Amino acid sequence: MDAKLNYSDIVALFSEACGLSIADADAFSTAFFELIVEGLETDGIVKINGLGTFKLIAVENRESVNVNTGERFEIKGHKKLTFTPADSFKETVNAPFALFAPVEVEGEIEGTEETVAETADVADEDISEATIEEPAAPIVEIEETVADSLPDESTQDNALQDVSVEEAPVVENETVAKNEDAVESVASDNTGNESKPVPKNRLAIFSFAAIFIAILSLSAYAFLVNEESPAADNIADNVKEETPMAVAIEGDKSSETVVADTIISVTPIEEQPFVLLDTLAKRPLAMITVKDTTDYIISGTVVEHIVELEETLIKISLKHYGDKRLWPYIVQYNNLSKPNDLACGMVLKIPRLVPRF
Amino acid sequence: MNNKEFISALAKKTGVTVADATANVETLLSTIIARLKDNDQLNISGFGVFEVKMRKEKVLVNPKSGERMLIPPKLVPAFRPSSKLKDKFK
Repeated sequence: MDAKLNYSDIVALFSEACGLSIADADAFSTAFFELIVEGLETDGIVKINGLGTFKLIAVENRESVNVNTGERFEIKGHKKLTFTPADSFKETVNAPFALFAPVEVEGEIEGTEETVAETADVADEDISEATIEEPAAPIVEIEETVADSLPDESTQDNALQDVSVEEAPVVENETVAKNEDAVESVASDNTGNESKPVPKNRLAIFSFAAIFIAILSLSAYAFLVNEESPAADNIADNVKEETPMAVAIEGDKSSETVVADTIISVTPIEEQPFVLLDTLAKRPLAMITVKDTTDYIISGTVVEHIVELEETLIKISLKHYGDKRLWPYIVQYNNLSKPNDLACGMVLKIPRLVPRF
Repeated sequence: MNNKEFISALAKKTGVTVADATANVETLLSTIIARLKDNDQLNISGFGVFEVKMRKEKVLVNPKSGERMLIPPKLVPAFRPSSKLKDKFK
């Protein structure tokens, strides 16, 4: 086992196995290996049953660099001796491992934790979606009355709105997206009323526009979280203010009745935040704190946290808030200049977060 | 040069019958392979080294279907020609 045998050892074993004298066995083995070399010289290939194939392979010229001087030089093409073992030889040698077979591995091997967290996030979004969808409903209904002549298109818009709800993870942004969508869809429907035979590619344009808005709102959310400016509210307010104006402008283009309808339809939007607050207020406190939004006001310190080995801000955030997205608040509250460099034993103040509505 | 040509050339060179040469080659090879199976290393001076190498287990991904296959470890026979032999063919 694991021994290093030389030529004479092999000859001894061979003579024992076939009953030849050591001298004869030596002569035969020598002839055997010499003949392989001769065969390679003449044919360039020697096949031996039960052992394998010895073959000469041509290696082309190639350029190389002298590591010491950086000088380029050419390695001349030459012939290389290769050996391919026969199948029976391979099987015999691999016998200890023969019972293993390739197995298909399911999913990622690393980052299983990540996927669990993802599903938790999805669940959270479902909750928020449920509460947010109510305010959206009146808009959609009115839209349908406006666009009675185009039922297909309005249902399509509904579908698109649903998509945008799923994509936007934050309450604030959802309302932004909603309002923008509402403006977009009301506007498009009105214009659709004016020119009746709707070209098919218009549908495609609408869907692209809706998707684009969803992406915009997502990126705006990411930007806002990084910057931590209170601009999210401002944007939401702006859009809310713009909604009636935009609708009114669009409405002017179409008939008077449409204007009336749209103006009625806009009023529920202003009332919605309060309704939303009421419904949220009735729910247990724990539900509201973290799950539905990432926009909070910092008010005081909850505890002081001592950073342990291999702990990241995301882990700390997950530990104290149950949400890994809230780590920027910890950075802000502690005035960390280098959030990536957490020292072991560092004391962090964990801020108390009050949702901002 | 295939196996048949090799055996007949060997018989001619050693002065034995083809049948004897075949039998002798078989015993020689079985000796070599039996040694390798025991994880030994055979160093034949002037010719090269026969040894067994272990290939570790690895995960392969089929780029088309995204399937991940765990390939088990295996032992493979290998031959390293001696530097003398390498230079001869260079």
